[in-house]
Amino acid sequence: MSALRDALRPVVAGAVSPRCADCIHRLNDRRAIEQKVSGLAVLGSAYGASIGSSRLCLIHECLVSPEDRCAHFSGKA
Amino acid sequence: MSDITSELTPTQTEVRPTPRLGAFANEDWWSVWIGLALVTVAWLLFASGSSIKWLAVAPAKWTSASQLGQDLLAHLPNYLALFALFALLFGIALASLRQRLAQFLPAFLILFLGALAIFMVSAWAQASHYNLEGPLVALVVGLLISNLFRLPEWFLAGLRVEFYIKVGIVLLGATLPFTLLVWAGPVAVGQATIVSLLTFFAIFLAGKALGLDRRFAAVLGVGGAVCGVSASIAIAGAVRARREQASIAITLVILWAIVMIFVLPYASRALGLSTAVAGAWIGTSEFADAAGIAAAQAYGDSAKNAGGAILGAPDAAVQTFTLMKVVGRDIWIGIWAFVLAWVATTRWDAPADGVQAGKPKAGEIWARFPKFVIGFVLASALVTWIASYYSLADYRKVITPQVIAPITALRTWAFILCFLSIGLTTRLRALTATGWKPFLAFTAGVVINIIVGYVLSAHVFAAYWNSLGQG
Repeated sequence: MSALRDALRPVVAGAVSPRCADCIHRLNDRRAIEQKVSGLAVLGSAYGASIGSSRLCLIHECLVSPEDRCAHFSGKA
Repeated sequence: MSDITSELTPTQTEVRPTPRLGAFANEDWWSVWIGLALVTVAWLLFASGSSIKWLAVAPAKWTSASQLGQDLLAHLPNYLALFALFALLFGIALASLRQRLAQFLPAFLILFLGALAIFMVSAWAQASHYNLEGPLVALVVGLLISNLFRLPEWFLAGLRVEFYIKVGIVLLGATLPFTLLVWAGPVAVGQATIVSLLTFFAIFLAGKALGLDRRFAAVLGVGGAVCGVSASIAIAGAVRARREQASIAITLVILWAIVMIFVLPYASRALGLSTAVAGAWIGTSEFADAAGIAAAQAYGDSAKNAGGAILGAPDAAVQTFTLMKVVGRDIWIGIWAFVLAWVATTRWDAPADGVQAGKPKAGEIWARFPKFVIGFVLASALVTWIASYYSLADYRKVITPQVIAPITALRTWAFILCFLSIGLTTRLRALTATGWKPFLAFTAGVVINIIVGYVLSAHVFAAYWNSLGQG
């Protein structure tokens, strides 16, 4: 039921929540983050705890948290 | 910057909680489970009258190629079983983290064979004569290969530096008495706090004076003060630093960490430091766990072969390093991230790129906490509890050879896999592209870190660290 409710939420609300967590520009793939942040995999990792829920924003080229917002939000399909 | 939230409907502004990360969601947790599983199996086998010793294999000392060949052939099933065990454990963990097993397994096979070759070199009877300590050989060979040849992309999947070192640190916990952790913890935390604060403010203020963005200066500062690359990415996330700022901070950490792998053991030897004091100094002044363990283990190995010229038990270097670095410095990463996230959102100007940062949450402290430290402490507590049922004489006669020594051998494998991976992933040419201002700011912290770390380890707390090294 909760999955159905989640699926219908954008339809009911008329739009998805504009948080970075729901944005297509937030790069959630940790392997890709390691490739984009040079040196990260040498003495560190994007798969460890220290990165937390921070991910790369491909629009602003900066690290963002799921609750961040901006005017360039574009919802996931 | 436009106020985005004011344009949203109530439904749109509803913030759903960040999904809780499970106990299998990152390398830290997996290193805890793998390390504790190995320690538990070692104990269960011992309790049932067997030992994990047959699996924890490494080449014996050799003087001729034929002797080495015979030893390898005799233990071939053991090596195959060890490879299968590591491949299975690491493979399950990495597959659960959505890494590509098809790339990891062949890469890991090559890495395992490389590590075996390093073990063979360091087991040569003349190795100490030529200073061929395993960690340094692994690092130098890796550096030569990665900088002379272009490694295929798929091979990089096997070079999980942080994962291997975290597994090794959990196993290291099993060889440290829990009472030692309790006793050493406060001094390690005190020394680490002094050095971390001084280093952070040195880099941060130097960065500001040189005109660097405050967010960038903060990432550089904590990268130098706390735990290197992990701290850099944690703080970059907390203050919403730009990608290239995180990359530059990480590059500077790697640059100085690699330099210090060679400089700190050499300087410790030149200054006549005991293994325990040198380990504490390396733990205070190295910039990354993996690099620091390489330096500490190299110093411990050279003490083994120094004929008494270096005071203290060889293992004391790695032990005091870990107390200083892991217990003293690493555990604060979440607090640094939370505090700087709060400062960045409430005190500093919003980023020019229009990103509106969410409110800092105290939950970040736990989210970014290095969970492998929990495994390190639990492994120590478990083995100490087991040892409490034996007299000291029985512990040394029975538990040490049947349980502790094999765990130490597995730990050494994890470390050598890590050291070789460091060399194989480090491109020296990439370390030059940082810019002078960040380099100068970071280097100001390096200088202070090295000096204060030496004074505290070798003078202020020297008696304390030395007393640990005699245990």
